[in-house]
Amino acid sequence: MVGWGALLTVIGGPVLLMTWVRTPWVTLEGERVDQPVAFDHRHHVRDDGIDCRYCHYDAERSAHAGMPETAVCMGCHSQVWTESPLLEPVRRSWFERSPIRWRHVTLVPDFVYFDHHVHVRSGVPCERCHGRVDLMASVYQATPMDMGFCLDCHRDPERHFDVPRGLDVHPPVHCTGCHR
Amino acid sequence: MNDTDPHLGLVPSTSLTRRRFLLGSSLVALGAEACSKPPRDDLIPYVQRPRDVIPGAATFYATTATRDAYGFGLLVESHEGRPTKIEGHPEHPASLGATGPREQAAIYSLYDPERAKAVRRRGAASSWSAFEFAMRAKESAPWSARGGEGLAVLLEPSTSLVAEARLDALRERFPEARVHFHAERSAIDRLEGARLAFGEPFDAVYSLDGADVVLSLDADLSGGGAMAVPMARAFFAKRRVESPRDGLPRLYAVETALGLTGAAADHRLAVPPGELPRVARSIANAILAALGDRTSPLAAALAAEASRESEPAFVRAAARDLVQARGRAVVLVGDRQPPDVHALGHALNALLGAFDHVVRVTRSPILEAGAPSHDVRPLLAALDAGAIDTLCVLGSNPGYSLPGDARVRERFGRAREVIHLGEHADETSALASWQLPAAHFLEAWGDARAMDGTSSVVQPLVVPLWGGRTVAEVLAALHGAAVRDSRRLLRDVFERRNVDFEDAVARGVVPHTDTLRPRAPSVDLAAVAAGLVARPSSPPTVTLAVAPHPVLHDGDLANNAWLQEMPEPVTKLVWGHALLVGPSTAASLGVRDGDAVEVASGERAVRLAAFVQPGHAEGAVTAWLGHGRRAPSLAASAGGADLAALRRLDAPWIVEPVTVRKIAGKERVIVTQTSADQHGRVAALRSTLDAWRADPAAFRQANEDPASILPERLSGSPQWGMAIDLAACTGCSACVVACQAENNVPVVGPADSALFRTMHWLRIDRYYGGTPAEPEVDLQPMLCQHCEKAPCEYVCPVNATVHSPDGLNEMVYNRCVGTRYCSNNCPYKVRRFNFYSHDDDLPESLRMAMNPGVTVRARGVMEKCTYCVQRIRRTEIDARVARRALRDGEIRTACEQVCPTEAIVFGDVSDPRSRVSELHRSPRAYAALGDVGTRPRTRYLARITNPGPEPSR
Repeated sequence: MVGWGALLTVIGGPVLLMTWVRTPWVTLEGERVDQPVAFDHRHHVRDDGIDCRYCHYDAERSAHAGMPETAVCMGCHSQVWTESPLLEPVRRSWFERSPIRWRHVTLVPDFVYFDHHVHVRSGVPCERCHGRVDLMASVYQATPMDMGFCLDCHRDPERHFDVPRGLDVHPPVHCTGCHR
Repeated sequence: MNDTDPHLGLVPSTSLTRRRFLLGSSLVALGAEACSKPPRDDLIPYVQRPRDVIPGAATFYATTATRDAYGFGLLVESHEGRPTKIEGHPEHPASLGATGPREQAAIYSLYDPERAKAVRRRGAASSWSAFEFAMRAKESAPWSARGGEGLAVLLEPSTSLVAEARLDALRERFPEARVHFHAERSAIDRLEGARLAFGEPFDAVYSLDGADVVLSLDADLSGGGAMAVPMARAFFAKRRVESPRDGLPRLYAVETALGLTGAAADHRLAVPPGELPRVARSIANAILAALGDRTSPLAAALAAEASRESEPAFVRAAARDLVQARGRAVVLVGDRQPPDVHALGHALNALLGAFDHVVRVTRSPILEAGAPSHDVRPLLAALDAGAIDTLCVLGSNPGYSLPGDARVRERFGRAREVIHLGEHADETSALASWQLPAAHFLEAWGDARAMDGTSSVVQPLVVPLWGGRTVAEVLAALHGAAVRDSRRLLRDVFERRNVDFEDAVARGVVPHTDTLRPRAPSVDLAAVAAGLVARPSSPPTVTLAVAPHPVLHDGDLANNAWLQEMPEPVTKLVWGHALLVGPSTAASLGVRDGDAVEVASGERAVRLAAFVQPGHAEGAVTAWLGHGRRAPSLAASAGGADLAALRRLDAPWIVEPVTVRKIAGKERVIVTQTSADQHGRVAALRSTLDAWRADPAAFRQANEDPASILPERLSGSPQWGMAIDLAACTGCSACVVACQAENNVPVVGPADSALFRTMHWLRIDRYYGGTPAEPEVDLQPMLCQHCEKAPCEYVCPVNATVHSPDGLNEMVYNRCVGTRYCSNNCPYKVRRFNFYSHDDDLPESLRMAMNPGVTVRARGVMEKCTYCVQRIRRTEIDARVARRALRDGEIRTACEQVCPTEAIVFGDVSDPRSRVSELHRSPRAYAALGDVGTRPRTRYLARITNPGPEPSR
C-alpha cells in the first residue's frame, strides 16, 4: 500500500501540478478585470470603426503596444460625449494632469521579452493573441499566453495565421529569442 | 573584515546561517515561482506624451561629461526619461564614440542613494530659497555691501563658457571677491611648463598616428586623461600589425609604479619619482648630443648635470630611437611632473620635429589658465589673516583632498560662513554652515570644451532627483543674477558666439569650434634651459610616490560601488588601498601582501597594507589618493588610509624622505586574481616582431580546431563570434564597467569580493612574465567564449545552458537550479553564481539604473556573458521590421562599443567578408585554451611587441 501511495505521489503529484499550471486558474484566461473607466471596445471598434492601432499606435514601432494617453481619449471626447458621466475619470485625468491607472489584462511573465512591432509587421493579426476584443464589453485575456501557446505558433506560423505573401517568416524557437 | 555593509544594502555574509539558507531555498521550491504569472499590476499611460518618447524604446541624448575639466562628449540611453547607459559621442574629439570606466559608472553616481538630498543649514533642514534670501540680506552677507570684500569662491577648474559668464558677472558685481580654482589632479604644472616653453599656457594635443617612437615620462596613454581615447586609439591602431612585414611603433616608458602605459611599453624604466626629472634630462642630453648640439644654452645646462657615471642603457636606446625617427618621434610628459620637465618635453618635441603634425597646440580652454587664481595658497593665507567672511566651496572636496599642511579644518573655521556645494555629505560639508546638494551632470544644463577647444553641450537627462543645482546656478544666487535659468544662460552665451543653440543641443558637439593652431609658436630653448630646476641627487632613502588612484582618481568617485568593485587594472585590487612595494624593497622590509606597514615622515605616519608589486621602482613606494574617507559612506567602507597627513602643498606627489617599517598585524587586501602565471597554457600569447618575422606561422597551430567526436550542429547564417586584439587592449577596464551597466551585473561588496564572488561577466586577466624586477605584463579580457563544443552544456542536468542556432551559448535563468556543474567544467572560469539575490535590497534609486532589456537575476542561478544578446535580438527585430538585411558592425556589444582602442570586434563569422571573419583569419589569431577542444567563438589576436636591439654598453 505504501508503495502505491508513494508511486502515486511521485508521479501523480507532478502530473497534477503540471496540469494545474495550464488551467485558467493560473493562466488567468477569461478572468474579469474591472477597469477605472467603463471602456467598451465593441462600441469603439464596431460602431465607430476605429482601428486597434489608432489608440494602441506604438504596436507598430515599439515592443509595447502602449496604452493610449489621456490626450488620445480627449482628442474625440473634448468634442463628443463631453458631459457623459462615464467619461468623468477621463476628464478628471486630463484636467488634473494625473494618469488613468488601467488594470493590466494580458499578462506575460517578466522574463519574456515580447515585442509587438515585429509581430505586427510579420502579419500576426491582433486577435490571434488578444481574441476578438471587438466583441468584448470589457477586455479579458482570451488565450493562455503561456510558453506552449507562443511556441505552437512559432514552430508553424502558417497554420495559425495568414502569413503575408513574400514575407519569409521564421520565428525563433530557441531560448534567447524571447528570454534575455 | 567588514561584515555588514549598510551602504550597499547587501545581505551580510555572516548573518545567513545554514539553517536560514535551507529554510529559504525550500520555500522557494514550494512556491513553484517559475510557473506563476506576475501579479496583476497597473498600466499607467501618460496624460500627454512628451516629445521623442516611445514607451519601450530607448532614446539617446547627447551630453558632455568632464575629465579634469575638459569636455568629453557622450550619448546617453534613456528609457521613458530614465537614463540607463552611457556611450561615447562619435563626433566628439575626446570620445570618438568610446568612453572610460568613469563615464560608464556615472550612471551609478546619478542614482547613488547616498547623494546629498537637501539644503542644510548648520545640519538642520533648510531650502534653496532660504539660502538665496541669506545671500541677499545685509546681515548674513556683509560682503555684498563692500563690493564682495570678504567673499571667496573656491571652484574646480572649468572650461565652461557658462561658468565663465557667471564668474564675469560675479566679478562685475563684487570686484573685491576672491575667486580660486583647485583640483588635486590639475593642469597647473603642465600649463606652467608650456608657459616656460612657449611664453603662453598652451594645451598640447598629440596625434600619435604620426608617431613611430614614443617616449612616455610618467604619461598616461590609456587611462583617464582628457585626450586619452584619441591618443590610445591612434597609437594602438598602429600596433595591430597585419603581417610580419609591417613595422610597428616603439614605446618607451619611464614610471614609478607599474602602470598600463608601462605594461604596454616595449622598454620600461622604473625609477623613484624624484629621479624621473633627472632621467628626462639624461635623455634630453643624449638627444642633443646625437643632434650635434653641444653649445646651445639648453645643451650647456643639461651637460652640466649629465656628468654622472653611467647612464642606463634605456636612456641611450630611447635617445637613439627618438633621434633616428626624427619627425615621427614624440615625448609625452605626465601631469604630475614639475613644470620644467613639461617645458623640457616641449623643447625635445621641437628638436625632434614633432610640432604641427604629431603635436599641435592651442590656448588652453581652462578658465583663467595660467593665472594666479589656480594657486590655492593665497586663499589659505587670506583665511589665516581673517580676511574671509564667507567661503564658498563649489564642487570639490578640499576638506579631504588638500594636503595636511593646508590645515583645512582649522583655516575653514576662521570664516564666518562656509558654503559647500557637493554631491555628497563629505569631509568638506562637515565643515560647512550651508550644505547645498549639487546637481549631477546628467541633471544639468551647461557646456564644456575639449582640450582642442571643441565646445559641447551639457544637457540634462532627468530633472534633478534631489533638487541639486549646478555651480553656475549657485554663482547666480551669489550675485543675484537676473537670468537664473541655466538653459537660457547657455542659449545666450551660444548665441553671442553665433552658435545655433537648438542644433548644438541636438548634436551635442558644436561643429568647427576647435582652436588648434596650424603652426605652433617656436619653443624658447633658452627659457627652457633657464627654467630647469636643480635637484639634489636623491639621498639613499625611501620616497613615497603619491598617485591618484587609477580608477577613483582623487576620491571624487570613491562613493561609486561599480568603480570600487572594478579591479584596479594592474594590481587587481578592489575595495581598498595598499602600499605598493617593489619586490626587493619588500624583501628587505620583510613584508608580504597584506602585512601592515607604517609609512612615516617626521612624526606623522599612516598605516597601510603592503602589496608587493612586480616592476615597482626600488627605493620608492607608492600609495593612492581616494581612500581613508572619514564621512560615513560607501567610500569609507572601502577603508585604506588618507595620505593627507604626509602630503605637503608645495610637493603634493612626492613625500621624501619617509621611513617604511613593518608593524604588527594585517590589513585588508582584496584581489580578484591570485595567480599571475600562465602555466605554459595558451592564454595570452605574445611575441616580439623579430621572433614573429622568423616564424610567421607561430600562432597557426593555436588557431586550428582539434578533431572532435561531437556532432557538428551549427550551420546557417548568421553565426556570431568575436575577436579581441591583445595588441590593442590596454587593460583600461572600460569594458568591465560597460558590461556591468548594460547587463545589470550586481555589486557584491568587499566581504564577498574577498571570497572571489564578484559577478563581472567580463574580467581582465593580468599575467606576469619576465622577472619580478622587470615583468612582462599581459592583459587579456576574458568573457564567455561561446564555445561551439561548450563543456558547460554537457554537464547541466536541467538543460539550463544550451546552444542557439546562431552560435550563442545561451543561459536560461528559469531552468537553472544552481548545481554549478557548468562553472566547474568551464575552462575559462567565466560563469558567475548568484549566492544572494543581490538586487532584492537595492535602494529604490539604484533600481532606476537597471537596463529594462535584461533580466535581473535571482539567488541561486548561474549567469555569464551573453554576447549582449538583448542588443543582437533588438537589432535583428529592427532590421526585420525595416525588411532589410543586418549590416556588418551594426550590432555592437557593450564591451565593443566602449573600447577606446577598438580592440573588441563582434560580428557574423559565417560571412567571410565581415570584420570579425577577417580578424579570425589573421596570422595572429588563436583560440585561448583551444587545445581542450572547446572551439571558442571568441578568438584572440596575439600581441606583438617591438623591443629594440640591446644597446651595447
